[in-house]
Amino acid sequence: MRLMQSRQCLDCEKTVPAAATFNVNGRVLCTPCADKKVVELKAAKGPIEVLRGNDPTICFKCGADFGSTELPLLAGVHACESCRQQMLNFQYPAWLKIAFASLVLLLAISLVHGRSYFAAGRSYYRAKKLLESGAAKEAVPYFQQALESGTTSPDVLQNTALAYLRAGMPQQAYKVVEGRTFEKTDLFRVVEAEFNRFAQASAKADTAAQMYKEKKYQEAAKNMHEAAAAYPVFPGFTEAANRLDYSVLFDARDYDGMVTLSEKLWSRHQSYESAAGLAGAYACRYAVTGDDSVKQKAMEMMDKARSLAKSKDEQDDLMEWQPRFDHRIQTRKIVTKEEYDAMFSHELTAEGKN
Amino acid sequence: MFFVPGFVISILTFPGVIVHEAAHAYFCRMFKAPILEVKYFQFANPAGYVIHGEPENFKGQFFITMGPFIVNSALCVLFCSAAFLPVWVLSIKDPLSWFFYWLGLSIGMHAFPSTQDLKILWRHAPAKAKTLDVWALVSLPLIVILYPLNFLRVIWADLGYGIAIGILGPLAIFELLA
Repeated sequence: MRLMQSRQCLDCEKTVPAAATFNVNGRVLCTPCADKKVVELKAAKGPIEVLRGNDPTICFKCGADFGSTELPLLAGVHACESCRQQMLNFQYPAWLKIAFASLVLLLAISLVHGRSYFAAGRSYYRAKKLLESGAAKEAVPYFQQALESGTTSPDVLQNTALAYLRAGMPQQAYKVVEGRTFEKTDLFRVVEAEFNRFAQASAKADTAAQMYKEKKYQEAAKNMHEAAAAYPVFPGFTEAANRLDYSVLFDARDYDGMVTLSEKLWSRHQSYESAAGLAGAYACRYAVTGDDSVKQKAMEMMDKARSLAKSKDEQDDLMEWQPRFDHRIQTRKIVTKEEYDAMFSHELTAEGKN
Repeated sequence: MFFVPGFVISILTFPGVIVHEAAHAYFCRMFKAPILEVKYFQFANPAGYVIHGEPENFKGQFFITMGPFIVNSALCVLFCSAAFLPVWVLSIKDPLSWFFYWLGLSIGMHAFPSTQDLKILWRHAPAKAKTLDVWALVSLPLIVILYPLNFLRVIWADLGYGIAIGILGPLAIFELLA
């Protein structure tokens, strides 16, 4: 016969199984009395300490009754050997193991899924740092990488536009923000101010173009220089200003001045444009002086121009310019493009050298 | 501040509750503390718990109490890092990234150790700290910070913590990598 332990309730004095008792603030009570006491203590807002009464002969975990045999204590409770081993060698349930594996899998998926965003985000942060340090040109490729992620972030778009504007690429800046509306934040105002600066410079450049059409080369050059000064990062204004200076000197028949200017531009930036311009200037000086060493220089620069003509525009320009250059060298006559075209009825294809 | 019943929060952020209790159980096992009962999740208060015996040393007590804080915080930063850029920086409409962000925040929100766990740690920490026990020295400031934060759960301190590490953690990582 099994003999579980029993206790006497200190309130109702009934004898009940020890496992069915509670210790409420130090008093051993049966379950109904314990419930009543807890309600009373709660109403009185006094301190409550409730401990479940235990029977050292009944396993805390599985409830098996071991009769008169007292079970060993583990962490303050009596447990049979089987439950004792379960508590010491705790095993996770299968569903938790599956959930854990799923969590690890999800983490891996999240990292793989976020890979392209990592690249874009890293490029964006790097670009922003470069832009803040004043290296807008260097920042542009990183902003372009960030844009490839398909971002719609106003901050990313506006910072990209700002980098383009400060790198002298206003058309690309416009494409980035075209058709979008932005909140009027501090960043918005900075970008807006930069666009306005370019717009003002463009207005000057338009005036210069108008003056050029009216053959007012000096005024055209002055306006274009103002545009270049207002927006120095845009190479288009500076190049146009240099071309206009060239036209002013050609118009004034200052061929030495043309050579000096062209040599300066060539030493600053070796391109098809600067090579062809210098070839033209040497050709003019040769036409005036008949100096073969100058002719030689002109021919050498024209060779360089030919080798530097890579883009379609440059190739087209070369096609138009080469016969005029040859004509100047062969005849030692300096004629404008219009005069040359009138002489040979060539089609007007591009804006040529003088 | 608006009131949302605790069980609603627990349901919305149940992965965090499970991770928290599983981490408790893991550290109990690691430091040979007998586990009497585990509830990984339930629709009641508390949403989960682990009843365990005393570990062999204070280091064990420290990890059983702080383990979930460390594990939940780390998982929160990892999941949120993967989703931080598309959600917060690049503004890309990507439901999967939002899912990972929810998962990260849910886990981070349940990082705080319970008041009961902190009380047990506090019971032993000052005496151990006097013997220059490293874990006791580490635990003291953590208890001082986390104990009052636990009470601030009523004003969403746990959500605040999750958001803070879910945003500031990845932000720090990307600023460092840039």
